[in-house]
Amino acid sequence: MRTNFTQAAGLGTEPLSFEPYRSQAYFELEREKIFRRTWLIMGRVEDLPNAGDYIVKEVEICNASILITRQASGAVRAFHNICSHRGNQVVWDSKGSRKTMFRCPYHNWTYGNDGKLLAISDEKMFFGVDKKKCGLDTVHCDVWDGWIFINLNPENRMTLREYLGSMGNFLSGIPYPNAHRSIKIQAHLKCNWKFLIDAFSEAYHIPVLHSKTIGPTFSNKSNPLAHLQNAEFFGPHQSISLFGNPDYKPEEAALVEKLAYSGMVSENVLAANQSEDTADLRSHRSVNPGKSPTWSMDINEIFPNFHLDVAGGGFWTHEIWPITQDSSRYEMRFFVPEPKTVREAFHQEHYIARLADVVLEDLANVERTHKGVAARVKNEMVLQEHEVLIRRMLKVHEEFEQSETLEEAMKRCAWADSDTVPEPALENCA
Amino acid sequence: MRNVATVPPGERALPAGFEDIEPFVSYWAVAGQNERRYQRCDTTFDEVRRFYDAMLPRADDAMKHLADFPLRDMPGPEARLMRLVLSLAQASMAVEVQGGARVPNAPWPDTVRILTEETL
Ligand code: FES
Ligand SMILES: [Fe+2]
Repeated sequence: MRTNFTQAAGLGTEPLSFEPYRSQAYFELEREKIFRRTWLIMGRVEDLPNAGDYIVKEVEICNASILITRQASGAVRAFHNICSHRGNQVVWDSKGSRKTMFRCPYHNWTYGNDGKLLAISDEKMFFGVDKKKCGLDTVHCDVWDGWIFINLNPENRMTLREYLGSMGNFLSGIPYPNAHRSIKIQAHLKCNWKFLIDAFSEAYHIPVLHSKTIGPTFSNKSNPLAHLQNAEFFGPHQSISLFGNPDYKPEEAALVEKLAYSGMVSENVLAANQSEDTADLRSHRSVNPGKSPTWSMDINEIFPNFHLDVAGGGFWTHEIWPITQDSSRYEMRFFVPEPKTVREAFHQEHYIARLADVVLEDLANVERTHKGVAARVKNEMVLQEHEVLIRRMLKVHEEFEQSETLEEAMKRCAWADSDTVPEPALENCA
Repeated sequence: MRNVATVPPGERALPAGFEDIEPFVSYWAVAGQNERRYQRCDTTFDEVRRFYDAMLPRADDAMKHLADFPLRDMPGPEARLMRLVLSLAQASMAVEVQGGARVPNAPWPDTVRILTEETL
């Protein structure tokens, strides 16, 4: 199979510098020009289904703790989780329900879930505080297709829809099965956050690093190195479709795997759902956009740190949060149905157990990669055609770092949108 | 982290007919996916295999027996039997996939946590 994704993306073929992965100065630029400017994923609307529900999310690179609340009107709002008295965090847990008032645990200042300061304890001892001016600070917050995003720039003028642009149009309307119920795999890694982005941006490593866990699901004799089936580029965002082995079967000796999947008619081992429950998902125009019979999943990368992956058997997400230059927080969420029987619970336990092993294969690896790059022995990495997302991501970073505003960065990133480049070759593997 | 499944005094460890797998209850019948994953990782491959070999031939019978009970409200012996079944899924990753107790060349203990909204 010959493809021309790299060329179609308007990219060169030269080796690329490792500096962005190991430089503190570069990390500071990422903070100011990316994380303080772009729209950032916070979760799903189903994470706070009822009025009075809330979640708290950390954006460590910006020292931000964000409180997201569901108003009586149904609207979702976001605030800095910082008390107007002496700056403590007002909410100390990570989620809760049916709570319309928050009392700061330090000295009991009390806020509504609309951010208003309602009461000051021992108010008469203060010196004329204007309560109207002491609410929680609002953070820009918007929802797209059930996904909640925030923007930390108080001066931000770009809407979430404008920011997602043609990527938003491409993905809009996907019916997400089990969006209300997820199992999370969380880990803290000693590596630069971009190693994690890269780890989940290509399939070249799958038959090698994951040879036992999912190698046989993503490759076969016709495509032994898991070449991509498709790639789409949308400003800073991008999307690829991965090959799937249609003939995958559990090995003879995998008796527990067979038992776990015996009650399932499913798409492949990455299926959390029965096939019939994902028919709508699979028929969406942008899920397996080439409608290839040898497809496993799409990786949809929403800049800067969110992957929204869709497979025949369901969907999952990766959030990758920088903490320091060389440490990161990783969160993967699998959206899975509620098991109703022991057999269903057994299948789900097997499904998540396998994925935890797969993810750990990647996670142990990113720390090794960081160590190798931080040694400053090598200065460049050499990328191939099917690592196009990594090459393009670094170019998008460059555009952001050279821009004074989000608007300018978005304009610079439109150099090779899917709308304006020739369709990549789609022949099947020979 | 030390996980142990305890049997209240006067209660059977497992429903009648499953006496042969009772020795595995205290280590493997723990509540929670994260805990069961921990148990699989925090022991030797021989121990995982011993449990796998004993549990595999009983798994189908166990699930048949458990089908008559509500998943989220099982009596103690049934709940412990269910957790043994679920642990078999964890153990199978070691025996059927990795050929070792854990992912090879990954650190242990690790920072991986499985966070679920309900604990089975
Ligand atoms: S810091 Fe919140 S009440 Fe004092
Ligand atoms: Fe991987």
